[in-house]
Amino acid sequence: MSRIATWSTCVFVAVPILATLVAATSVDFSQGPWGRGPTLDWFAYAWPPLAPVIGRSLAVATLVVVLNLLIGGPLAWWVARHPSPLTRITGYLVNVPLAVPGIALSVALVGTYPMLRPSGLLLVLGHLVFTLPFTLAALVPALADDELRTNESVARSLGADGARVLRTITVPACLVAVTQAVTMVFALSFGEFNISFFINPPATPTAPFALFDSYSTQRLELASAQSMIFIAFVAPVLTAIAWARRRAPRRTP
Amino acid sequence: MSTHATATGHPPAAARAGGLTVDGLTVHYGSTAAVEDLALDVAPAETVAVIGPSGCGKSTTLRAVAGLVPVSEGEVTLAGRDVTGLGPARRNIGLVPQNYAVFPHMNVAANIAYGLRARGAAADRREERVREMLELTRLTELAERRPDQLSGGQRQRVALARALAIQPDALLLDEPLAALDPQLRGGLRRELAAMLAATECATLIVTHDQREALALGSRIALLREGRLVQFDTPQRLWDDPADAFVADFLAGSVLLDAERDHGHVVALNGRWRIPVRDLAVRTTGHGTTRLLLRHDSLTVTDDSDESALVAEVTHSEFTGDAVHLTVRAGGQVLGVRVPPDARIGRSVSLAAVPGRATLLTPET
Repeated sequence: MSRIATWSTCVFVAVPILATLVAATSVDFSQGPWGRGPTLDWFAYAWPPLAPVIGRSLAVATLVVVLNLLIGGPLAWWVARHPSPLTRITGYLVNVPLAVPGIALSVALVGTYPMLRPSGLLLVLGHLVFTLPFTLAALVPALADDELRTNESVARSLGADGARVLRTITVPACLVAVTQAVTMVFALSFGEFNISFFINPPATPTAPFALFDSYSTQRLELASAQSMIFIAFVAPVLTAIAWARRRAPRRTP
Repeated sequence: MSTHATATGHPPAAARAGGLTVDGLTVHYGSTAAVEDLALDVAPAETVAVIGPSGCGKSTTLRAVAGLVPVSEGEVTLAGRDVTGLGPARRNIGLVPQNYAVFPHMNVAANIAYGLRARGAAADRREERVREMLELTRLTELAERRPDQLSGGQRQRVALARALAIQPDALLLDEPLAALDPQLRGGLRRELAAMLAATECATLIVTHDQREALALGSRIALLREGRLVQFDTPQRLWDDPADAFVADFLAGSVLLDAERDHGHVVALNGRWRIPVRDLAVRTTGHGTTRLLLRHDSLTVTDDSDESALVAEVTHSEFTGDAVHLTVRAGGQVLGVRVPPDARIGRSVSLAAVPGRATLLTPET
């Protein structure tokens, strides 16, 4: 079973990436892999126009992560610590954007808040709406954990105030969940295309939109080089997600 | 002032200003009263065990004393301070929950120092106190260990050391031995008793284990459905239970209403007449004349006179050195121990083992 999973991963993930790399390092990919020899020139051509776009996407993703922590953290706390019909409904509502097509979500956001579009704030809010369910999915179970709640009670009984309990007990216990949430939200925002395509003004594209534009209008080798640059930025984040998932919360037996 | 069963041989609550006093405590979860009008007190250096079946409100009592659940009515006084409205951080209590809640990301020494740090104790004072607690709980060699490198008994000692490090006015232990393997409990119970004996604070232990309560508590408060049924020394609870529930829960005994009749005791609506000379006679502080039967109080007899009770055998269980019979007579379920080789039919004649059954008679 694990061998099938490994092969499937290779076929559907690794091979396309390798193919993109081959295209990005071929002088003329229309003549086959490394047609007319290998080259790194396409990366040199790809980087200058892509750099500001990558910078913009990094800024948006960072802002979305911060907002997720500022809004999703307290929201997850409330949902986890105050179970009630209201918190259950909130949990369902937060997940609704996952079931709504990106185009419908985008049109709804643009139609409702057109004044926020030029500044880019609507894009950030769109990403926030799209990523918030993942933050809650990571944080709510961690914050609802009975063992954590008992530990917090003991810490309070020992004289710790709320801020100390949060800093010394809650955050360390939720560190893996927070890491998962941060990396997942960052990766989702950085690579998000649907909402970005519809909401963001074309003059200030995000990285996935720029890649789409390149594949539509530029040579395949140049677009492939841009794709590899994009992957290079997102790979460390994906590695962090894998690390966070492998590192199970340390519990006393 | 709420009422509770009187405890004999102890100073009045007013004389115990240094300990823990709970008076008229009522805790509601929604519209349900989890604890109702509870009153008990624990003197400094005394250990009181709160015991009762699941859902009786014993853990809620402990959480209310700790300040972890809001109190609907009543008062909690610690070392002469009314702490009813104070949060847990300002009560000066040491809490040891059932799973010990040893902080998993800190080593043993850091766990013990946690409360001292939270209270802003100076570094040298903190180190000295941690060293004392490590010695008291025999954890000095394990000071740098992580909790996941400790056994259940060692984690219990860490939690105890951490709670005692802050020199609490009251130590609260929730089911202190329940998380341990049954084979280890005996030894660790004695170890825990020794450590508690070395402390000066009032200790409140919540448990559902009768042996634990009898062994650790200098007094026992028995709860049922959120209410205090009896609060007394283990010996008096054992010898003079307030009602059939206490007798059954604490010792698996049966308490029957009885009447004296010219040298005999009559029970089970006249179906059983036992000569008083076969009974141990004690006075009771709980009203009427009653017959207290333990598992060793009855035996199977061949006699068929009026002192024999004919009972139907409903269940038998081999326990190694004996067979435990569950029998029914006059609507009452009784327990009888017989030798493993005894031949038992569907019904048996029972007689009181001389001196083993107890007649409780009201004080005159």
